[in-house]
Amino acid sequence: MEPHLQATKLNKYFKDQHVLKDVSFEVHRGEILGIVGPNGAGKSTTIRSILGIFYPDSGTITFEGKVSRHIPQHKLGYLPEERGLYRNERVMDILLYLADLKNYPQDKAKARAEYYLQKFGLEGKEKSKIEELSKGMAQKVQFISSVIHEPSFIVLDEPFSGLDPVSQDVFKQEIRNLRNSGASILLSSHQMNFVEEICDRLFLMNKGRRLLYGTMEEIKASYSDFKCTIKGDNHHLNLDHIDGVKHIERKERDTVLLLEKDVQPIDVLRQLPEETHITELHVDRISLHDIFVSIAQGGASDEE
Amino acid sequence: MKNSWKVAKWEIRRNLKNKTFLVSIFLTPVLFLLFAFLPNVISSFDSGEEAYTLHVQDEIGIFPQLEDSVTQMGEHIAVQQIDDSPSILEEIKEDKTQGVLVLDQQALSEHRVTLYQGGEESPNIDLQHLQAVINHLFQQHTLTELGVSAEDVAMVQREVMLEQQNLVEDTADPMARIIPGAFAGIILFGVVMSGMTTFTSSTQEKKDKISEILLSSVSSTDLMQGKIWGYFILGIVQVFVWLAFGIPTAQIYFDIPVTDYLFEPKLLLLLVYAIGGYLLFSSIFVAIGATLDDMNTAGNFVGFIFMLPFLPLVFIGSIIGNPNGIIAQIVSYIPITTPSVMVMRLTFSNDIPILEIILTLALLVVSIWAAMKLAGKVYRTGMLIYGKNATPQEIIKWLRE
Repeated sequence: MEPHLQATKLNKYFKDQHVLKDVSFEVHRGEILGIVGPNGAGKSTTIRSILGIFYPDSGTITFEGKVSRHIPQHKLGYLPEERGLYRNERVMDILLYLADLKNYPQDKAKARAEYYLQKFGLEGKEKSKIEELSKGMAQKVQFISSVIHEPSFIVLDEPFSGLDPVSQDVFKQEIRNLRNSGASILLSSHQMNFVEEICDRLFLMNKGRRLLYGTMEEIKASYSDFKCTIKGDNHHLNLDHIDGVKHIERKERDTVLLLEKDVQPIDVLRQLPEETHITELHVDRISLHDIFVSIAQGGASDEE
Repeated sequence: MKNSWKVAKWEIRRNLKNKTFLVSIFLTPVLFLLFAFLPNVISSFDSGEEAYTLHVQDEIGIFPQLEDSVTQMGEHIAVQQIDDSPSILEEIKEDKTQGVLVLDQQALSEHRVTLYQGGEESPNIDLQHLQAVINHLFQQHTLTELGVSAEDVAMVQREVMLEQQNLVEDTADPMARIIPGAFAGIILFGVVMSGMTTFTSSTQEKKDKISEILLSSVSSTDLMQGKIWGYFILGIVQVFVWLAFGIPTAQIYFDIPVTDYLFEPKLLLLLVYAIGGYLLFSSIFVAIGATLDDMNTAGNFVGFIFMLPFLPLVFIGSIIGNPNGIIAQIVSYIPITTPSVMVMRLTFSNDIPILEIILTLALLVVSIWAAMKLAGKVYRTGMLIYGKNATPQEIIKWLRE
């Protein structure tokens, strides 16, 4: 299937800093691609490069099969990380203006604005000014502004930050609805649990480079399936001889064994030495959070 | 272009709905009138016509004529003859409303008279006029002493009238120059003031953190041009409101037939300069606004930028005095002063060479093009920088990119 968006070997320099290094990825139609990475990894630069807010120094962007400098603006919905709307203006005025800038018909925009305001519990707020709304409400208005014109490609930068759990669920459901109605979504977030929950594929970057890329299953498989966390005073213990352990992390009184693919935890536990001091023992499936932390820390040694 | 117009429409609509803007539209002419008339009103309370007494010790015999002439200088002046000056000098020492004039033989022979003035300020009388009166009376006295008849003295002392007669008659009514010039000047002032608001509009959008959303919807050039055109129209609206007050006031109150003279062909040319000035300044302002995160920390640099449109005021004297002089010509070719200087020159002279008009217009067009191009570069990068003001070094770097 032809990807909706294909970014190939994007490079970007700020002064002498090489902030994007041969970054390539694809977003397929009707999928949610999560873009994750620690602060300063290059996520926002990647996003801004495909949006045409600025241009990469090299590399190509192919949208709907055509090479272009950026995604056509009327097909693009964007929720930036830096939240903000005209504080002194009314909700409906702002929504209609932003829809107008996307060449979306005003009558349809009005209907969609009303539909979304109601859906997000903001009915009756059409004439309120943004400064009169709570932070969460303003964020909902901003979300509406990014999808009001029925974009086929949506970029959401940290959509869940600052939201209460109820609103987070509403947003998650709405993002899924948009995906199900055929929109392609590029979602950047630090909250790994959300990414794990709603993204179809993942693109993890650090220091301007792509480190992991694939479906959630592929990424988890490429890392490890299980992890055993042993709490106790074991820092003197040599565990290197244990088969089926890919990586050992030690922090204070925790020793974490990351198991190789297809290795059963029981086989590893049997190999623990007699003198192992155990106050608690946890066996878990590895989470995206663990992969993220491990990459982010590992990435530090990668510094140029 | 279509997107620029959408941005312009948005800026116009939100300002026209904004109470502060509406109040300022109506308040500005009121403030102007206030500042124009206030000094007169205040000075009428403090009329300065404080009574003044001039004591004269006359040893020559010209007091009656002196009294006649001096009392004509103003109703507040009283003249008194005294016999002895030293005693009165002590009396009036601290009183600024009194003075003593000693007219004796020595004064007559040396042609030098001293006015002993109380206090440390200048007296509230026209000293030049007083000097002329004394001069006249001394001459008259000397001539009479020499035996010249009264008629001959009068003949000698006749004042010479100097009249000016131009060889080429200025047939054009000066009103036909001044009214369109004033009109263009008001428009230039109004739109440049409005252009300054593009600055606030940029900083406000940065403060509201909406610039990233806007720039994902329209190009930075469209956004910038939209602001420039939007505030141009707002400036024109503002000027028309002012004129709606101003023209009837001038016509009815001051009896100046504004509408008879307004629609001169020259008006078109003047308006081209005014609009050019607006485009030049607003592109500078909109770009500078985009480099600032916080007005309060902007510093003197911004103050200096805001002064730019008023720079030509420095040359106003020499331009009006000599619209085709060397200073007027030089400042006509400095882009930031070109619009207002040319408006002034065209207003105060009828013979600005066509070549100069063409050259300055060409210079203006090129400058606007360059300013917009450079402003676009600064604007594009500046709008996306949060949390700090751009340094001049950074701005120069963006310009080079």
